[in-house]
Amino acid sequence: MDIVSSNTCILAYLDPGAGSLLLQALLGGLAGLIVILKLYWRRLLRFFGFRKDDDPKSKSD
Amino acid sequence: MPDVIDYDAGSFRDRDGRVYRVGDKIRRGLSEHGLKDWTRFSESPLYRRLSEEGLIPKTTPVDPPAGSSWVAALEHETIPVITYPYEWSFGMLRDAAIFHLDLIAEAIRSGLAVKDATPYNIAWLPTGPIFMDLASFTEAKPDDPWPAYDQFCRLFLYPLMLHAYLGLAHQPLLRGDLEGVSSDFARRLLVPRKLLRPGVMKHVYMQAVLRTQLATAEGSVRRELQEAGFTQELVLRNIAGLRCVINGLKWRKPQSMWTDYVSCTHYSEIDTARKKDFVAAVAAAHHWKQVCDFGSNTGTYARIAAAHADLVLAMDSDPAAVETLYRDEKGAADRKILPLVLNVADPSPGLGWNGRERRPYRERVSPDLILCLALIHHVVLTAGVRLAEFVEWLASFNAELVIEFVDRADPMVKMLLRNKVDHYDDYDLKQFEVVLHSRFDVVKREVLPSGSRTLYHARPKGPGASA
Repeated sequence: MDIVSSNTCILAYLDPGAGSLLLQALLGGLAGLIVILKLYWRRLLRFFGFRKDDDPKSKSD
Repeated sequence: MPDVIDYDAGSFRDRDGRVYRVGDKIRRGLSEHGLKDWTRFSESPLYRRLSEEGLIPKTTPVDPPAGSSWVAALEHETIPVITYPYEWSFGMLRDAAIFHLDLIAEAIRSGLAVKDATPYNIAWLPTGPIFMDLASFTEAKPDDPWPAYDQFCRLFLYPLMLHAYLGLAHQPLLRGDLEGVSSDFARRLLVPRKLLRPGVMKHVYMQAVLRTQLATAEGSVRRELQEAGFTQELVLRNIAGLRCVINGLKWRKPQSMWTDYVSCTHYSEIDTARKKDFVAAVAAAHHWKQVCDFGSNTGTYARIAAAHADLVLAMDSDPAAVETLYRDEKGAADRKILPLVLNVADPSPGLGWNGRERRPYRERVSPDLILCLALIHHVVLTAGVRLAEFVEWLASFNAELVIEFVDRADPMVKMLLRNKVDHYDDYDLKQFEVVLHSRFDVVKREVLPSGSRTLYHARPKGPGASA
């Protein structure tokens, strides 16, 4: 289920599509690849229950 | 009693700001959030630079309408003619794309975000594109992916690619769907035969694939990306990549007979010289605010008129002619001509929500002089419009008119009728003059030396004129 992000979504009316968002990381070269790997690593951890969706520590800054 | 607000029919999606009219002035109401965004933007160096270079309309704060929910309002300098991307040539769309990308990149570097990436935010002036949607600039979130990437592809990149790689005209595609060309549509046309062309693998193929795969994805990919450390550097890299691809997209000049029109032998030099003199005399008699040159082709007569006008709209149904004129005018010193793709027999209609979001062509122009040279035979004999109705249409603009009647002895007319049954009983000089005189006062009439073409300078009769 989608949990409301703590970031207020200002860029409101466009529906960018998940695929287009993900692609941006892929297009970003090495830096983007690292983001993708982190994303899937977190998904893996969530799958195994090692990470909660609303874990505040999960927001990197 | 709150004012009744005349909202612009195309301004409704953004809940933080909405454009409305007060008389002939253009204003924008802002919500509290919209005002915060505006303050942030208007105090930025980016705003200063864009203002100084005339790339955004001049804007001043005004009082919001009484009793409305808007907390603030802005008044924008009026743009003389709004045009839409399905009226632009390839080069115009491409230059607008680069302009928009550069703007987004600069905004990001200044710590701002631009809400969307659409050619409908851009107005074309004879001097170049300007950015109209000043409420688009909002607070940047450093870890937000670019939400408008998909929109940019649909409305700029794919139409441009479909032309550059496949020779397809973008105008019918963009007119046919205000959302633009979908990644799936682009993929079906470009993949696999154009897969190795710049940008196709990444922006077309991969995007189509990922969009399909993740269409029903649960959870928020945006949030996941943010958590995984997405940065604006990635967005800037993507934008740089897009810019590179678009820069490399080349216009495909077709084997079009109309761009060679001027060198066609059927039009004698003496005729051309007399025609130029005729148009020049009419143009020089007055300073015109807005001239509409229908069927302007290579722009010969548009240029003559431009010397005596604030703005000349040079329209032609052939995108190649419009693109050629656009390229030629780019290097010109005093730019007054705005080239546009328009078919007089099928001008841009109202589109979008309520059929009013994008206004019909007829409502966006208000010429005081119309040039209709070497056009009427195409409108009647090719498009099949009735002669009288076409003249009525011209009269409805209530503008002065320079019109050329091409009779049946002319080689071009013979060619148009070549493979047709000639049932065009209404197409002859006498009938034309009868209709013309019923709606106009003919000031001057000249038969060109070749004998098959007649020029008229006419003024519209008063409102009470009978049809």
